[in-house]
Amino acid sequence: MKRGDWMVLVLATLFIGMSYAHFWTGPTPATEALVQTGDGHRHHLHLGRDATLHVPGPLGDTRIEVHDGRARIADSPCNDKFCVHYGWLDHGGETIACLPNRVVLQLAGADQDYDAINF
Amino acid sequence: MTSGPARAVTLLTLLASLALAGCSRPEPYSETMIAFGTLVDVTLYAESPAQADEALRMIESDLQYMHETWHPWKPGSLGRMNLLLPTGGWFSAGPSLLPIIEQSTTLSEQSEGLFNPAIGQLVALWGFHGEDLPAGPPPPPDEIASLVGQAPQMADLEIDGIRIRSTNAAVKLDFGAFAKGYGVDRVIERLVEMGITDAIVNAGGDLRAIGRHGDRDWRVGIRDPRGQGVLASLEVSGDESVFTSGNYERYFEWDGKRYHHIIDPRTGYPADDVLSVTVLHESGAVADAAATALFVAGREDWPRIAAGMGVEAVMVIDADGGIALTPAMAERIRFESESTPEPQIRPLP
Repeated sequence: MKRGDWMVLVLATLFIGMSYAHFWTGPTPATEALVQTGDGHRHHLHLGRDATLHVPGPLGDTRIEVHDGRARIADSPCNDKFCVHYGWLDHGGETIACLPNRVVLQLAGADQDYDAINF
Repeated sequence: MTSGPARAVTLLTLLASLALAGCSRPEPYSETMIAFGTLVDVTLYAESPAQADEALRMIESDLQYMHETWHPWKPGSLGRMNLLLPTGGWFSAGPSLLPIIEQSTTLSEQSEGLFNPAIGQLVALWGFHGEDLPAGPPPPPDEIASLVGQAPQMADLEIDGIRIRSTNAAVKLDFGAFAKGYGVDRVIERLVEMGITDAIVNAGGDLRAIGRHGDRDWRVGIRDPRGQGVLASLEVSGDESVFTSGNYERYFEWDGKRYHHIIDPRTGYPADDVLSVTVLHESGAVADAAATALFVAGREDWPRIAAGMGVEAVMVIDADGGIALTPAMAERIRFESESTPEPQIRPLP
């Protein structure tokens, strides 16, 4: 093998390595909360920016809050308020729903710590 | 193309193509839907967006169909059966009901009656049968005692071909502690028939997973029953279900006391010795029934009931916050916080 062969070998190995990193490894951490409503609307909230969002449902408005990189259902017109009592979501993939008011809050991000939450 | 560098380039191009050929593997598709009266979260690997969409729509419509068919009090197969059972006469059962009745009867016997779908009237008396939670007060003690005294059980049902009758007028069926597991099993069967080998179906916090998430196992977080966030995690692959029964799922408060939805068939009142039970088992139906039965059994008796039902991997969190694990669960589970109390290992008899 001549010097050119080695150069090709090194470049090709680098190419394969970078391709592997590009196509196969996980992307950056979760930075977004996804809010879905029963009428099919989707809202995206950036977790890096504190915000409050009111979304309508069959029972009234559900209030979603983003604070310090976390998100929660802060208030809901439903009876049992299970969604509100759940508290803050801070893991990628974590989901909470208010079934009566048909609102789903989910932390998005492809580096999800969990593929599913069991409860 | 005979020179050394040219041969090297050809060879390396081939190698690179081989290395990248894996990129044509099936893609993951995720969707969150409201079905089965709960939130259903599905991730699956499919060959094309069309196949993924077909699978997701199938899951949605199948779960919706099962939810309506197996609803104990609404018009539907089970609703009709519950109207006819108290007559004591023979009648034809809806075709989708016999398998679910047969499997739940077996599991009920194995659980020494602690998983008991025949106590539909007790569940309704407490008000936990509807979509909305009861506001209280708890039912009158004499009405609870009367239903408990009539001791409705799955063994009171007689089946002859497709015909069925009850020898106990107090039997009304409520598959609330079973239908989700049984339904998730049916959905996974359908996915496998469609050629889908990697998927996770999470129906309201209870799930079954097949295959893997790409090049790693599926990662499942278990919610902390005592508060917020995730208590522990499990990696599942191949074909496994993770089901939890907890006192925080459905409850009402009255006079400062919490009344939750898991009723002890022996007393007629909510079982209160444990906070949650998590069961890992291949079958969603078995895991679902066992989670309920072990919850009712309480911290002393759950290992015996688990052994009887054939489940090996169990986590129980008792009312004082103590954590107990079977050896099979201890091997699999990882606690997320260092402040988690040291779990007690409970071998099964």
